[in-house]
Amino acid sequence: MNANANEVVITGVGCITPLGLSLEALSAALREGRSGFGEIASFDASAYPCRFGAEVLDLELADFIESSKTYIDRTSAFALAACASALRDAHWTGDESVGLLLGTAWGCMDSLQLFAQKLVEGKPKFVSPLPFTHSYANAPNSLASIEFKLRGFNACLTSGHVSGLAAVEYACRRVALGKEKRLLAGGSESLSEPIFHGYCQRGVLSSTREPRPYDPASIGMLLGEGAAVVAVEEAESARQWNTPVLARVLGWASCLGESVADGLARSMRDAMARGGLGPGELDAIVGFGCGSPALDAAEIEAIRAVFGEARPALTSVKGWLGEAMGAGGAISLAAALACLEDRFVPAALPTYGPLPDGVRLVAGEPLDGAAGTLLVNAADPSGACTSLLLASA
Amino acid sequence: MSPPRLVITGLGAIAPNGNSVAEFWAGLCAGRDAVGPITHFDASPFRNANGGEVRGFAFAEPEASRAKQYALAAIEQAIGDAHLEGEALRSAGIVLATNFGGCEHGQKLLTAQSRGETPDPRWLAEFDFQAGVGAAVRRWGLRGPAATLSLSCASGVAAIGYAVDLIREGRCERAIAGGYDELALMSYSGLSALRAITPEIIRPFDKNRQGTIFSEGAGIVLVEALDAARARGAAIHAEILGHAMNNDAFHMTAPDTSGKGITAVMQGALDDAGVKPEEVQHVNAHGTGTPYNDKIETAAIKAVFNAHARRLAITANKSMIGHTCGAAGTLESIATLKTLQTGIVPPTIHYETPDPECDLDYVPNEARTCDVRVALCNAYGIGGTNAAIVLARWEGR
Repeated sequence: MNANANEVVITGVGCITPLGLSLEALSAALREGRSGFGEIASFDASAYPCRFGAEVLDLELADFIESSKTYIDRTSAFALAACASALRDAHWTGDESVGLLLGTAWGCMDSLQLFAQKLVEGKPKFVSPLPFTHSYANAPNSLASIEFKLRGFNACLTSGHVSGLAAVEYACRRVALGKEKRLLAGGSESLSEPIFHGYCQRGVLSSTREPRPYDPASIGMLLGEGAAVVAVEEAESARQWNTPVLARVLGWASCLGESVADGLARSMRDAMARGGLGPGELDAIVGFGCGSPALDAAEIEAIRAVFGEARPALTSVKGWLGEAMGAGGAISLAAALACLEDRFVPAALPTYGPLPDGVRLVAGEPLDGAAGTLLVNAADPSGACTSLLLASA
Repeated sequence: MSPPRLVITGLGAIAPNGNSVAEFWAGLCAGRDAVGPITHFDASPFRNANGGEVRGFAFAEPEASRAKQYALAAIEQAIGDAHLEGEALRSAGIVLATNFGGCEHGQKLLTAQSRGETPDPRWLAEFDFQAGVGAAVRRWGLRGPAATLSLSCASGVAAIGYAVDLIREGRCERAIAGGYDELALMSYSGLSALRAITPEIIRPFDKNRQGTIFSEGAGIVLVEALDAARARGAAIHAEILGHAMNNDAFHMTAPDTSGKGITAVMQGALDDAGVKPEEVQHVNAHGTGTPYNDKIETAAIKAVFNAHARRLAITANKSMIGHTCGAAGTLESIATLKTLQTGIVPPTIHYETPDPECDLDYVPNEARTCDVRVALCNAYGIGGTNAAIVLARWEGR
């Protein structure tokens, strides 16, 4: 690793979640322990074995952007609103050199479904070009680039559930390599029926209204949606512009392993090593625990292997917000920024029966007080894992 | 600490003109038109029923996506070409890119959903953008960094660029990188609705060009840190000097006639490479054959290279194999690399009538031998995505 790599900081954040349309709203909801789940409203889920999800139902895009949209996919709308907030928060509005890296697991499925309707009707010649162009996985990137005139580095990651956090990781890499000064990075995802149906078929969704991250008795996850985008900046550039720093990014890594536990242990170790932190120096982990018995057990196994008796506080926001797939890791990152900003660590759930062994899970009440160093984890069921290490400014 | 030098040590190609790099390259040099009637679906309702299909490919899994199987076959070739095995293979990163993933399976899924039928659970898995990386990781037991990108038709160059940055940062010593896509009804009908498809043959840079032809395939390269390649005695095909990716920030489908985005991406790649425009001899153009692209790309090349633009040998591989979407940037990077290795610039075929707005040297109709030391390869896509990469001939030091 290049010892002289440029330092990376986060100077802005935008987040659109079922618990509000700003970091402040998310932070307040997590502190209060408010749930974002309800019966799914954006499509009829009554015939499915799972009927619940955490949806963003109150977004008025016109509150965030200047242009008016005759058509917009939900994945793109979430991304545009989150980008607008992050740009404002970082005072980057009008800077055309800003780059953009967004991640999404499934892209713009509602648009693809709308587009494909003519094919279902056997009229391939009469498909509409509008939903087709809006169905590309890079459509959120492109629309945000157009809206905010972002002419810098630009890419779209579609690496499953790690996509959003992996986009932030790539932004950190580009800044550390000295290739960029300023990048927006994050993830966006919408809860669409074909994907929901597929997850139902995989048998990974809980039939209850409350997924139970890290609970040994958990029976499955629930899906969520939304977007989170952060402003990733070279530390020196932030100093020059007097931009307030929300967090320093000390380390990052994406790894595959023999298993999710192995891959995550490696990505956490790599991120900690890059940041020069020992196991006893980490205050808290915002994990990917979502209520999936297999994934949650893998994360606990990896944390025990890496941190042993050091036992940093462990939480996850997916008991409140669900698994937002490609946006999930980026939303966890936004929650970690809320922890730094508002000096608390949210509880993973209000009540638990037996707690998992070998980790210090934040259960019941939030943990008050500053967490100076935080690790954010994301994992895809395929085994890809990403970790990002943050420290207070 | 200076950043590591990067080289390409393995190649794999599944293309409409052949299912190996040797056939792909021979077809390009011969100026052979590989476009033919589309057989994967009924293309008769569309403006053009021809496309560049992969032919004679042995599908090992009839139920799996064609796109994924093309990618796996190209990866297998690249690994073999690089003589990569054991820990050097297991620790390699993998970066694949695709526009549409397993598009045909996506259509089956959406059709079933719309009709209230129960989709086969495998369809979602095959449609998944990650299906290619997932299958490769399982087949070769890969344990390095893994990523999937989807950057419309800039994907194939973007994947190589991502791999370059992984190795520059020291995340891995080598990475398998490339793009893939399949020709399927769902994507083809959308591309057709955008009116990008020619009603006749594809003739990039010709005055009478009317559009592009869509195709399928996979291209894979093995990107490796020079020191790591030397340490294992690998044969080096070419050096990667730099890359760039950006967005026009203009419109979802309408071309930015100012060419600002593609000018910036070419300049960005040259800057990243530390190369002056005058040091480049060859450009493997995006050259889609659409009226706008070729005109704007020509103007952008002139903006970047100034008077030197007239000395460049420019070619459009799409004139022979069509537009392979996510694979295009990688297949054309492979062609660029072969030009650096052999000095042969494949022709732009079907070039008949010069266009005053496309007045550079497009190596019309016949391959040419030139002294090419540094070359640029362009890839652009829907939504204003742009990527460019600079490659150099390997001189043995």
